[in-house]
Amino acid sequence: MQDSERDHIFGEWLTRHKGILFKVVHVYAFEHADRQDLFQEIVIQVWRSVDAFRGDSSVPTWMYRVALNTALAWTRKESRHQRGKQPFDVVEGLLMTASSASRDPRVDWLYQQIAQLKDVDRSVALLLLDGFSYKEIASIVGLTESNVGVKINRIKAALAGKRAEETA
Amino acid sequence: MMNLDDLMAVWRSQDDAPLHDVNKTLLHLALRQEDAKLQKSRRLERWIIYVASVGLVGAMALFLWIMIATRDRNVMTGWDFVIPTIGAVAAMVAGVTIYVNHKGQARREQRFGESLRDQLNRSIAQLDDRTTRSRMTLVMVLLAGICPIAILLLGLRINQKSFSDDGYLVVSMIFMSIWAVGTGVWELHRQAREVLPRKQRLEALLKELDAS
Repeated sequence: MQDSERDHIFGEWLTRHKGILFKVVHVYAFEHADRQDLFQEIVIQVWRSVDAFRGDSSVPTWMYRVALNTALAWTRKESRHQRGKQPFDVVEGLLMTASSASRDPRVDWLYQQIAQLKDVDRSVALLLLDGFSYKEIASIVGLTESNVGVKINRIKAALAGKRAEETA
Repeated sequence: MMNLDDLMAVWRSQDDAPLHDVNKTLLHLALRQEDAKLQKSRRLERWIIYVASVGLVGAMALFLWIMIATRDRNVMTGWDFVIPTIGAVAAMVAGVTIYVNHKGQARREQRFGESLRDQLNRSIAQLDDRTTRSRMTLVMVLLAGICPIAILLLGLRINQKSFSDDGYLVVSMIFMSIWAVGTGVWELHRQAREVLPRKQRLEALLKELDAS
Protein backbone atom coordinates (compact mmCIF):
# COMPACT_ATOMS: atom_id res chain seq x y z
CA MET A 1 0.00 0.00 0.00
CA GLN A 2 1.31 3.45 -0.89
CA ASP A 3 1.80 6.10 1.77
CA SER A 4 -0.79 8.43 0.25
CA GLU A 5 -3.37 5.64 0.14
CA ARG A 6 -2.69 4.71 3.77
CA ASP A 7 -2.95 8.36 4.81
CA HIS A 8 -6.24 8.73 2.96
CA ILE A 9 -7.78 5.64 4.59
CA PHE A 10 -6.44 6.63 8.01
CA GLY A 11 -7.83 10.16 7.60
CA GLU A 12 -11.27 8.77 6.81
CA TRP A 13 -11.19 6.38 9.77
CA LEU A 14 -10.16 9.19 12.08
CA THR A 15 -12.84 11.58 10.86
CA ARG A 16 -15.59 9.00 11.33
CA HIS A 17 -14.46 7.12 14.42
CA LYS A 18 -12.13 9.35 16.42
CA GLY A 19 -14.62 9.17 19.30
CA ILE A 20 -13.51 5.57 19.89
CA LEU A 21 -9.92 6.69 20.42
CA PHE A 22 -10.96 9.50 22.77
CA LYS A 23 -13.02 7.10 24.88
CA VAL A 24 -10.20 4.58 25.17
CA VAL A 25 -7.70 7.31 26.07
CA HIS A 26 -10.07 8.73 28.69
CA VAL A 27 -10.59 5.34 30.30
CA TYR A 28 -6.92 4.31 30.48
CA ALA A 29 -5.07 7.58 31.16
CA PHE A 30 -6.03 10.15 33.74
CA GLU A 31 -3.61 13.03 33.57
CA HIS A 32 -3.26 15.46 30.70
CA ALA A 33 0.31 14.43 29.83
CA ASP A 34 -0.59 10.74 30.02
CA ARG A 35 -3.56 11.24 27.74
CA GLN A 36 -1.37 13.02 25.20
CA ASP A 37 1.12 10.18 25.41
CA LEU A 38 -1.42 7.41 25.07
CA PHE A 39 -3.32 9.14 22.30
CA GLN A 40 -0.12 9.53 20.30
CA GLU A 41 0.69 5.86 20.83
CA ILE A 42 -2.79 4.72 19.78
CA VAL A 43 -2.94 6.97 16.74
CA ILE A 44 0.41 5.65 15.51
CA GLN A 45 -0.65 2.04 16.04
CA VAL A 46 -3.93 2.62 14.18
CA TRP A 47 -2.05 4.30 11.34
CA ARG A 48 0.37 1.36 11.17
CA SER A 49 -2.52 -1.11 11.28
CA VAL A 50 -4.15 0.24 8.11
CA ASP A 51 -2.03 -2.13 5.98
CA ALA A 52 -3.13 -5.14 8.03
CA PHE A 53 -6.87 -4.38 7.83
CA ARG A 54 -8.53 -6.98 5.58
CA GLY A 55 -12.15 -6.02 6.15
CA ASP A 56 -13.00 -9.18 8.11
CA SER A 57 -14.47 -6.98 10.82
CA SER A 58 -15.99 -3.50 10.74
CA VAL A 59 -13.71 -0.48 11.00
CA PRO A 60 -14.97 0.51 14.49
CA THR A 61 -14.32 -3.04 15.73
CA TRP A 62 -10.83 -2.95 14.24
CA MET A 63 -10.10 0.46 15.76
CA TYR A 64 -11.36 -0.69 19.15
CA ARG A 65 -9.14 -3.76 18.92
CA VAL A 66 -6.02 -1.75 18.10
CA ALA A 67 -6.79 1.03 20.60
CA LEU A 68 -7.57 -1.33 23.50
CA ASN A 69 -4.55 -3.54 22.80
CA THR A 70 -2.33 -0.47 22.77
CA ALA A 71 -3.90 1.07 25.87
CA LEU A 72 -3.65 -2.11 27.91
CA ALA A 73 -0.01 -2.68 27.08
CA TRP A 74 0.89 1.00 27.42
CA THR A 75 2.80 2.35 30.37
CA ARG A 76 3.83 5.93 30.63
CA LYS A 77 7.31 5.09 31.86
CA GLU A 78 8.09 2.98 28.82
CA SER A 79 6.56 5.47 26.45
CA ARG A 80 8.75 8.24 27.87
CA HIS A 81 11.75 5.97 27.68
CA GLN A 82 11.12 5.23 24.00
CA ARG A 83 10.66 8.89 23.28
CA GLY A 84 13.97 9.60 24.99
CA LYS A 85 15.57 7.49 22.29
CA GLN A 86 13.63 9.04 19.45
CA PRO A 87 12.83 12.67 20.27
CA PHE A 88 9.27 13.45 19.38
CA ASP A 89 8.49 17.08 19.95
CA VAL A 90 4.95 17.48 18.76
CA VAL A 91 3.17 15.32 21.33
CA GLU A 92 1.95 18.17 23.54
CA GLY A 93 -1.12 19.63 21.93
CA LEU A 94 -1.91 16.70 19.66
CA LEU A 95 -5.00 15.93 21.70
CA MET A 96 -7.12 18.99 22.42
CA THR A 97 -9.58 18.97 25.29
CA ALA A 98 -13.04 20.07 24.24
CA SER A 99 -15.33 22.17 26.41
CA SER A 100 -17.44 20.10 28.81
CA ALA A 101 -20.23 22.70 28.90
CA SER A 102 -22.53 20.85 26.51
CA ARG A 103 -21.76 17.41 27.92
CA ASP A 104 -24.14 15.38 30.06
CA PRO A 105 -22.59 15.22 33.59
CA ARG A 106 -23.64 11.57 33.80
CA VAL A 107 -20.98 10.81 31.15
CA ASP A 108 -18.32 11.98 33.59
CA TRP A 109 -19.91 9.85 36.31
CA LEU A 110 -19.70 6.82 34.00
CA TYR A 111 -16.04 7.51 33.31
CA GLN A 112 -15.38 7.72 37.04
CA GLN A 113 -17.04 4.36 37.63
CA ILE A 114 -15.26 2.68 34.72
CA ALA A 115 -11.93 4.01 36.00
CA GLN A 116 -12.44 2.02 39.19
CA LEU A 117 -12.75 -1.30 37.34
CA LYS A 118 -9.84 -3.63 36.61
CA ASP A 119 -7.95 -3.05 33.34
CA VAL A 120 -9.64 -5.79 31.30
CA ASP A 121 -13.08 -5.03 32.77
CA ARG A 122 -12.72 -1.45 31.57
CA SER A 123 -12.39 -2.74 28.01
CA VAL A 124 -15.49 -4.89 28.41
CA ALA A 125 -17.43 -1.95 29.90
CA LEU A 126 -16.43 0.34 27.01
CA LEU A 127 -17.48 -2.19 24.40
CA LEU A 128 -20.73 -2.94 26.22
CA LEU A 129 -21.70 0.73 26.47
CA ASP A 130 -20.91 1.22 22.79
CA GLY A 131 -23.38 -1.50 21.91
CA PHE A 132 -21.13 -4.43 20.96
CA SER A 133 -22.71 -7.86 21.33
CA TYR A 134 -21.37 -10.48 23.77
CA LYS A 135 -19.99 -12.38 20.79
CA GLU A 136 -18.15 -9.34 19.43
CA ILE A 137 -16.78 -8.47 22.88
CA ALA A 138 -15.62 -12.08 23.33
CA SER A 139 -13.85 -11.96 19.96
CA ILE A 140 -12.16 -8.61 20.63
CA VAL A 141 -11.03 -9.42 24.16
CA GLY A 142 -10.30 -13.12 23.66
CA LEU A 143 -12.69 -14.52 26.26
CA THR A 144 -15.52 -17.01 25.91
CA GLU A 145 -19.01 -15.56 25.64
CA SER A 146 -19.94 -17.01 29.02
CA ASN A 147 -16.94 -15.31 30.62
CA VAL A 148 -17.96 -12.05 29.00
CA GLY A 149 -21.45 -12.59 30.43
CA VAL A 150 -20.02 -13.07 33.93
CA LYS A 151 -17.90 -9.94 33.61
CA ILE A 152 -20.81 -7.88 32.29
CA ASN A 153 -23.07 -8.99 35.14
CA ARG A 154 -20.40 -7.92 37.63
CA ILE A 155 -19.95 -4.58 35.88
CA LYS A 156 -23.70 -3.94 35.80
CA ALA A 157 -24.00 -4.86 39.48
CA ALA A 158 -21.10 -2.55 40.37
CA LEU A 159 -22.63 0.35 38.44
CA ALA A 160 -26.11 -0.22 39.89
CA GLY A 161 -24.70 -0.52 43.41
CA LYS A 162 -22.75 2.71 43.05
CA ARG A 163 -25.78 4.52 41.66
CA ALA A 164 -27.99 3.26 44.50
CA GLU A 165 -25.35 4.24 47.05
CA GLU A 166 -25.19 7.77 45.70
CA THR A 167 -28.93 8.29 45.44
CA ALA A 168 -29.58 6.93 48.95
CA MET B 1 -32.40 3.60 38.86
CA MET B 2 -30.94 3.62 35.36
CA ASN B 3 -30.92 0.38 33.41
CA LEU B 4 -28.35 -0.60 30.79
CA ASP B 5 -30.26 1.04 27.94
CA ASP B 6 -30.30 4.35 29.84
CA LEU B 7 -26.60 4.06 30.55
CA MET B 8 -25.92 3.37 26.87
CA ALA B 9 -27.99 6.36 25.85
CA VAL B 10 -26.05 8.57 28.28
CA TRP B 11 -22.79 7.12 27.00
CA ARG B 12 -23.67 7.76 23.37
CA SER B 13 -24.59 11.36 24.08
CA GLN B 14 -20.86 12.15 24.16
CA ASP B 15 -20.64 11.33 20.44
CA ASP B 16 -22.43 14.63 19.77
CA ALA B 17 -20.12 16.52 22.13
CA PRO B 18 -16.76 14.68 22.07
CA LEU B 19 -14.39 14.96 25.03
CA HIS B 20 -11.49 15.90 22.82
CA ASP B 21 -10.45 16.95 19.36
CA VAL B 22 -7.33 16.33 17.30
CA ASN B 23 -4.87 18.93 16.12
CA LYS B 24 -4.62 17.73 12.52
CA THR B 25 -1.48 19.68 11.67
CA LEU B 26 0.41 18.17 14.58
CA LEU B 27 -1.01 14.76 13.80
CA HIS B 28 0.23 14.97 10.21
CA LEU B 29 3.65 16.00 11.49
CA ALA B 30 3.67 13.18 14.06
CA LEU B 31 2.86 10.58 11.44
CA ARG B 32 5.53 11.89 9.07
CA GLN B 33 8.05 11.68 11.93
CA GLU B 34 6.92 8.15 12.71
CA ASP B 35 7.25 7.20 9.04
CA ALA B 36 10.72 8.72 8.87
CA LYS B 37 11.68 6.83 12.04
CA LEU B 38 10.46 3.54 10.55
CA GLN B 39 12.28 4.13 7.26
CA LYS B 40 15.44 5.06 9.13
CA SER B 41 15.40 1.92 11.26
CA ARG B 42 14.75 -0.26 8.17
CA ARG B 43 17.63 1.42 6.34
CA LEU B 44 19.90 0.91 9.34
CA GLU B 45 18.95 -2.78 9.59
CA ARG B 46 19.65 -3.26 5.88
CA TRP B 47 23.02 -1.50 6.16
CA ILE B 48 24.05 -3.54 9.20
CA ILE B 49 23.31 -6.75 7.26
CA TYR B 50 25.18 -5.50 4.17
CA VAL B 51 28.21 -4.28 6.12
CA ALA B 52 28.37 -7.41 8.31
CA SER B 53 28.10 -9.68 5.26
CA VAL B 54 30.71 -7.73 3.31
CA GLY B 55 32.98 -7.64 6.37
CA LEU B 56 32.69 -11.39 6.91
CA VAL B 57 33.28 -12.24 3.27
CA GLY B 58 36.14 -9.73 3.09
CA ALA B 59 37.83 -11.10 6.20
CA MET B 60 37.53 -14.67 4.90
CA ALA B 61 38.89 -13.62 1.50
CA LEU B 62 41.81 -11.86 3.18
CA PHE B 63 42.63 -14.94 5.23
CA LEU B 64 42.49 -17.06 2.10
CA TRP B 65 44.67 -14.63 0.19
CA ILE B 66 47.27 -14.55 3.00
CA MET B 67 47.36 -18.34 3.06
CA ILE B 68 47.70 -18.68 -0.70
CA ALA B 69 49.98 -15.73 -1.32
CA THR B 70 52.37 -16.15 1.57
CA ARG B 71 55.80 -17.01 0.24
CA ASP B 72 57.40 -18.26 3.39
CA ARG B 73 55.49 -21.51 3.50
CA ASN B 74 57.73 -22.89 6.23
CA VAL B 75 56.17 -20.44 8.68
CA MET B 76 52.65 -21.75 8.00
CA THR B 77 51.53 -24.82 9.87
CA GLY B 78 48.37 -26.91 9.58
CA TRP B 79 46.87 -24.97 12.49
CA ASP B 80 47.07 -21.74 10.53
CA PHE B 81 44.55 -23.25 8.13
CA VAL B 82 42.43 -25.07 10.72
CA ILE B 83 41.78 -22.07 12.99
CA PRO B 84 40.27 -19.73 10.34
CA THR B 85 38.30 -22.65 8.94
CA ILE B 86 36.78 -23.32 12.39
CA GLY B 87 36.07 -19.59 12.71
CA ALA B 88 34.34 -19.46 9.33
CA VAL B 89 32.26 -22.57 10.16
CA ALA B 90 31.32 -21.08 13.56
CA ALA B 91 30.30 -17.81 11.87
CA MET B 92 28.14 -19.70 9.38
CA VAL B 93 26.54 -21.80 12.16
CA ALA B 94 25.80 -18.59 14.09
CA GLY B 95 24.28 -17.01 10.97
CA VAL B 96 22.10 -20.03 10.26
CA THR B 97 21.02 -20.21 13.93
CA ILE B 98 19.98 -16.55 13.89
CA TYR B 99 18.07 -17.05 10.62
CA VAL B 100 16.28 -20.21 11.89
CA ASN B 101 15.44 -18.46 15.17
CA HIS B 102 14.07 -15.44 13.29
CA LYS B 103 11.89 -17.62 11.02
CA GLY B 104 10.68 -19.70 13.98
CA GLN B 105 9.66 -16.56 15.85
CA ALA B 106 7.81 -15.24 12.78
CA ARG B 107 5.91 -18.56 12.55
CA ARG B 108 5.06 -18.48 16.27
CA GLU B 109 3.77 -14.93 15.96
CA GLN B 110 1.57 -15.82 12.98
CA ARG B 111 -0.22 -18.44 15.08
CA PHE B 112 -1.66 -15.75 17.34
CA GLY B 113 -4.96 -14.18 16.34
CA GLU B 114 -6.19 -10.65 16.82
CA SER B 115 -8.00 -10.83 20.14
CA LEU B 116 -6.63 -9.06 23.18
CA ARG B 117 -5.53 -12.40 24.67
CA ASP B 118 -3.64 -13.25 21.46
CA GLN B 119 -2.07 -9.80 21.37
CA LEU B 120 -0.87 -10.21 24.94
CA ASN B 121 0.57 -13.64 24.15
CA ARG B 122 2.21 -12.23 21.02
CA SER B 123 3.76 -9.36 22.97
CA ILE B 124 5.08 -11.77 25.62
CA ALA B 125 6.53 -14.02 22.88
CA GLN B 126 8.20 -10.95 21.32
CA LEU B 127 9.74 -9.98 24.65
CA ASP B 128 10.98 -13.55 25.17
CA ASP B 129 12.47 -13.50 21.68
CA ARG B 130 14.14 -10.18 22.41
CA THR B 131 15.69 -11.65 25.56
CA THR B 132 16.87 -14.74 23.67
CA ARG B 133 18.41 -12.58 20.94
CA SER B 134 20.17 -10.44 23.55
CA ARG B 135 21.63 -13.56 25.16
CA MET B 136 22.75 -14.90 21.77
CA THR B 137 24.34 -11.56 20.99
CA LEU B 138 26.14 -11.61 24.33
CA VAL B 139 27.48 -15.11 23.61
CA MET B 140 28.72 -13.88 20.22
CA VAL B 141 30.30 -10.81 21.82
CA LEU B 142 31.98 -13.04 24.40
CA LEU B 143 33.28 -15.30 21.63
CA ALA B 144 34.33 -12.32 19.57
CA GLY B 145 36.21 -11.01 22.59
CA ILE B 146 37.85 -14.25 23.67
CA CYS B 147 38.53 -16.01 20.35
CA PRO B 148 40.95 -13.46 18.82
CA ILE B 149 43.11 -13.56 21.97
CA ALA B 150 43.03 -17.35 22.04
CA ILE B 151 43.88 -17.51 18.32
CA LEU B 152 46.69 -15.00 18.74
CA LEU B 153 48.19 -16.82 21.74
CA LEU B 154 47.80 -20.15 19.96
CA GLY B 155 49.44 -18.67 16.85
CA LEU B 156 52.40 -17.45 18.92
CA ARG B 157 52.72 -20.87 20.52
CA ILE B 158 52.42 -22.80 17.26
CA ASN B 159 54.82 -20.55 15.41
CA GLN B 160 57.20 -20.69 18.37
CA LYS B 161 57.25 -16.96 18.89
CA SER B 162 57.56 -15.33 22.29
CA PHE B 163 54.94 -13.09 23.89
CA SER B 164 57.23 -10.07 23.57
CA ASP B 165 57.31 -10.43 19.75
CA ASP B 166 53.68 -9.31 19.53
CA GLY B 167 53.27 -7.83 23.01
CA TYR B 168 51.49 -4.62 21.99
CA LEU B 169 49.08 -6.53 19.81
CA VAL B 170 48.19 -8.99 22.59
CA VAL B 171 47.73 -6.27 25.22
CA SER B 172 45.60 -4.08 22.94
CA MET B 173 43.46 -7.08 21.96
CA ILE B 174 42.97 -7.98 25.64
CA PHE B 175 41.82 -4.40 26.37
CA MET B 176 39.49 -4.38 23.37
CA SER B 177 38.05 -7.73 24.40
CA ILE B 178 37.45 -6.60 27.98
CA TRP B 179 35.73 -3.48 26.65
CA ALA B 180 33.57 -5.50 24.22
CA VAL B 181 32.57 -8.04 26.87
CA GLY B 182 31.87 -5.34 29.46
CA THR B 183 29.70 -3.40 27.00
CA GLY B 184 27.83 -6.59 26.04
CA VAL B 185 27.09 -7.52 29.66
CA TRP B 186 26.00 -3.96 30.49
CA GLU B 187 23.68 -3.86 27.47
CA LEU B 188 22.14 -7.22 28.42
CA HIS B 189 21.43 -5.98 31.95
CA ARG B 190 19.95 -2.75 30.58
CA GLN B 191 17.64 -4.65 28.26
CA ALA B 192 16.59 -7.00 31.07
CA ARG B 193 15.66 -3.99 33.22
CA GLU B 194 13.58 -2.66 30.33
CA VAL B 195 11.89 -5.93 29.37
CA LEU B 196 11.07 -7.38 32.78
CA PRO B 197 8.54 -4.78 34.05
CA ARG B 198 6.75 -4.82 30.69
CA LYS B 199 6.58 -8.61 30.68
CA GLN B 200 5.28 -8.64 34.25
CA ARG B 201 2.55 -6.18 33.30
CA LEU B 202 1.52 -8.24 30.27
CA GLU B 203 1.47 -11.43 32.35
CA ALA B 204 -0.65 -9.69 34.99
CA LEU B 205 -3.13 -8.68 32.29
CA LEU B 206 -3.23 -12.22 30.97
CA LYS B 207 -3.87 -13.47 34.50
CA GLU B 208 -6.68 -10.95 34.84
CA LEU B 209 -8.26 -12.32 31.66
CA ASP B 210 -7.93 -15.90 32.91
CA ALA B 211 -9.40 -15.00 36.27
CA SER B 212 -12.80 -14.17 34.81
